[in-house]
Amino acid sequence: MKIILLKEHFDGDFLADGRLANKFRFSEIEPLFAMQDKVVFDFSGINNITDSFANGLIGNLAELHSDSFMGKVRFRNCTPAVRSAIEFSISLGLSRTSIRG
Amino acid sequence: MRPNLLPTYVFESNLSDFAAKLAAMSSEPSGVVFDFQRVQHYIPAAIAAVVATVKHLESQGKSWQFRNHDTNSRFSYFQRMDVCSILNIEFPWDHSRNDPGAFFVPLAQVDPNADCARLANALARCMAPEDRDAREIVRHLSSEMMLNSRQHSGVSGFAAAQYVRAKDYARIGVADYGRSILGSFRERQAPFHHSAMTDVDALQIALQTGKSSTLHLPVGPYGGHENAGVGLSMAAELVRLTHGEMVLVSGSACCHIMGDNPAEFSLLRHGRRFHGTLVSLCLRRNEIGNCHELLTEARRRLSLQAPATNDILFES
Repeated sequence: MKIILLKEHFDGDFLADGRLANKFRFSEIEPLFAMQDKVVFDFSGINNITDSFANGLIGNLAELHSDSFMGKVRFRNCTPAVRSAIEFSISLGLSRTSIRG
Repeated sequence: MRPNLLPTYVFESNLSDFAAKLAAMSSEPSGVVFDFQRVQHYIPAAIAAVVATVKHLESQGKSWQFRNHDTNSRFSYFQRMDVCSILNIEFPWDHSRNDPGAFFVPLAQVDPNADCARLANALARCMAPEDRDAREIVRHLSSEMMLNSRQHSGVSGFAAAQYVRAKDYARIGVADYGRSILGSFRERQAPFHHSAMTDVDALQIALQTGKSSTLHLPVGPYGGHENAGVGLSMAAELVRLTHGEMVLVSGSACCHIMGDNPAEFSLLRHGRRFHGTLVSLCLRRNEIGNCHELLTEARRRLSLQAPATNDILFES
């Protein structure tokens, strides 16, 4: 299991930039995904994230790993606002998978 | 060059007419004179639109000048919004006119490498320094609007914000002189774009959840997508839920949302076409309430339900 403490990778208590989130997913998370049985995102110290950020990091992960996402990914220490954005991004990501087929 | 007398006031109600006027001015072949003689009060989106228009003129190689700005005391507000420094206008500082009832954040340039989170933090701190819920909503909205501009316009945008205590209005304005929403759909060959698509059609699509000019594109160097096509639709829902007001102008089209009413779409006057995209959001701070509940309700209204298995994903 690998725990990703977002606060160690991003500044501030508000994460907004979908481009940075997507780059982080690609360079830091994807290599772990194949090797780890569980990937835990720890949002300690983060008050809120935008839908762009949630999509860049989480929505894309759900879309690209739709078969294993639910079994492998967990979230920890989410504020209600962060959780709401994550849930929304998972729905969007999985809906894109179903459209793509 | 013929002077163009700018209107006295620009609020949400006449923002599309103002965009049409700026478009008409931009089409003049010999350069443009902005006459500030009558100018009194402009919302942040209008100020951003003036700056975007000047940048557009410069990109076209056209000349421009401001007139009567030096004799209009209200121009000091433009100065404090950093219009002069962004446009390289020399103008003496006037420290005598500070409105204690209005808080504002100077124009920020949203260039391709802009740190939108940092800019949004600055806007939100000004709007709602002691109100955490309002601060979260303002920085959420302003960052999404700036990210939209950064990603889709292809050029720099300009963002500003203002809080008017007497009316409890928090306003965010973002303007760019880029390709417009329709232009973004066309240039990126979005699957829903067609040759007969109008600017109004494009605005209607842009306000739908999950519609973006980039989602169909082959993924970039990092795979995945930078956005999800929800920024504008979320902004519209948050405006509705807080009984606010949103004006979105892009190309020849305007979308106006007031409170919980359906969006009204129209064309700019005289068939004019604004060079880019302009968005103004106005929220009443005391309508914001609980930030989390507001964001969740907005997402629920966008008809995307959380997967049933979501509870197992979240550990305490």
